[in-house]
Amino acid sequence: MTNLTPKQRTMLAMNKQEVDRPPIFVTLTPQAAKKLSDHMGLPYEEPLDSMLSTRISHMDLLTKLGNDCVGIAGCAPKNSPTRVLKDNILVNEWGMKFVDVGIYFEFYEYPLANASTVEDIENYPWPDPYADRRFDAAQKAIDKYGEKYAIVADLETAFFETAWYMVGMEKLLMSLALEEEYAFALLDKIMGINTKIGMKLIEMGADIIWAGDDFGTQRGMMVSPDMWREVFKPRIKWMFEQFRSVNPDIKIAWHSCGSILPIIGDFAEIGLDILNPIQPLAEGMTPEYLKENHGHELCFFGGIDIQHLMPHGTVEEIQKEVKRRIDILGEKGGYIIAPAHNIQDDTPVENILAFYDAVKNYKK
Amino acid sequence: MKIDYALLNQYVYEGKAPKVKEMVQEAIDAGIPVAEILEEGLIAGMSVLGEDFKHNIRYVPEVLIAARAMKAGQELLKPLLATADVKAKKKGVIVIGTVKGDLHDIGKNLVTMMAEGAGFEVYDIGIDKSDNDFVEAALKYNADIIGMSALLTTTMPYMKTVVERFKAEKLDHIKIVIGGAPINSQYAKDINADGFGPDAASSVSLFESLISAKAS
Repeated sequence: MTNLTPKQRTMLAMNKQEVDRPPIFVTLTPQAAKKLSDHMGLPYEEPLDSMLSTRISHMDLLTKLGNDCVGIAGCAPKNSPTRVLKDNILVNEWGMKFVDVGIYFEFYEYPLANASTVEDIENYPWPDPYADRRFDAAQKAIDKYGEKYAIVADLETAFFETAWYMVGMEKLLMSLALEEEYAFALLDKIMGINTKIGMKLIEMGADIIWAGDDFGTQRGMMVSPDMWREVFKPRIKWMFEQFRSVNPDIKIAWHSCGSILPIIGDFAEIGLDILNPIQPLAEGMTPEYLKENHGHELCFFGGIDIQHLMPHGTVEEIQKEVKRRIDILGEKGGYIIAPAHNIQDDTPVENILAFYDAVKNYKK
Repeated sequence: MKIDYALLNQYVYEGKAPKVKEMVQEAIDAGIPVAEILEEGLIAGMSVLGEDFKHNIRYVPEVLIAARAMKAGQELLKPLLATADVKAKKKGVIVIGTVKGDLHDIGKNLVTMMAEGAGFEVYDIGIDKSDNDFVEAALKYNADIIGMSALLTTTMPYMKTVVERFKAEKLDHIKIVIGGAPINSQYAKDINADGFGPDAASSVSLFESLISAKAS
């Protein structure tokens, strides 16, 4: 048991086998990565050019710290890298504009803010999923880490989030409530592109595909369970079927922040294997409830609070919470332990190291 | 003519903007006092939705379209409210925004919609606002309450800066309410804010109790 490679540990755990300790998959914002790199005396790696850069960057640092998983994703292609427009405004290959607010890039302009017809969606110059060099960084990571580490292909913001990144959140939510045709065309268009990217990453050898869209808020669902079942569930089911057509054994994870209790069973029903990030402070998302009610059908990934514990907790509190989470969620396998989102700049290095130590030194 | 307020409330609740507009226009044409149309027709419908939103019976998309329907009705009433001798009961003035560095505004927008829906005069100063912005707007609009919102743990400490600035400016009569995903009542206490709104409907109740405490 103690001689497991990180990949073996991860895949055994995801097959609900007991392992020495749960596999770890931490991800970082660039500021946190910089602090940790300095602390470890390692060179700081610049983030990759991808919408999902926090999930796939700094892997050298993170595997050295103890990550068992390595993230890969599609990156901006050769002919349309993310570029600076003026001052601190950037535009990516989707046409989304961002403003640099210091610690993050935040939305500045939605390219399809005025879309109202299916034609508006059809006529937009969408990214080509197979564009030149889209998968170069992913291939490099697989070559470097694939033998020893579990390769997690990230496909978050699968279609709902990317759709509102294109038109604005309020517009999309209203259009869905009013059942405007363009909104469904938009979801389908983006889902088509991203499903192809996901399938390619699986074909390249990913062990886990980690798709996602946030359907929860701090206190409950963002959209009604009825709307979710009507609009999103069939589409997600279709995506999962495409993934399994490439590799029937692929493990499928879904990320949704927030409290999503009413739809967790639905996710299991359409073939989900792993639920992420089971946001600890979101209402009702307790590890006891999740393990008891969904432990037979799902594995869990995440579970360490970043809204209070990681930035403001003490080392002792982190040790205690890590043990509690593993005791509950890791019982008989089925758990990848991770902070419930990217660790941010407000988390002390000491707390990040305490997290890794607590997992590595875990004893029942 | 008698206005079927139950039906108008239902149209607001369901977000049926054209129907709301139609019924409000009919009520205006029939000479019903505008304050009554606003209170009984629009605000009452929105307040039912607020409660249902709080209890996860209705969700964000439904609130957004209801707020739009309510606005469609309000637009018709606005010019009349301004000129008519009838005065709608003014509940209080709120200045609201997200704090510096934080551009996540859907929570703030929902609070704005619900507070407007409840009859408050709300000045939404937008996103990424500094302590200066909040103070200036508070003075300009003669605010009773400041609402501040943050999604991120990295931006929420700025709320403390704003609270301290209001104390320094001796603007203690203006109440400060905070909200956002990582915020809780303990944090509000820690930074000496006057309250924490866990959701849009609760925030409106909080505004109401702060205003009535102030009045008495």
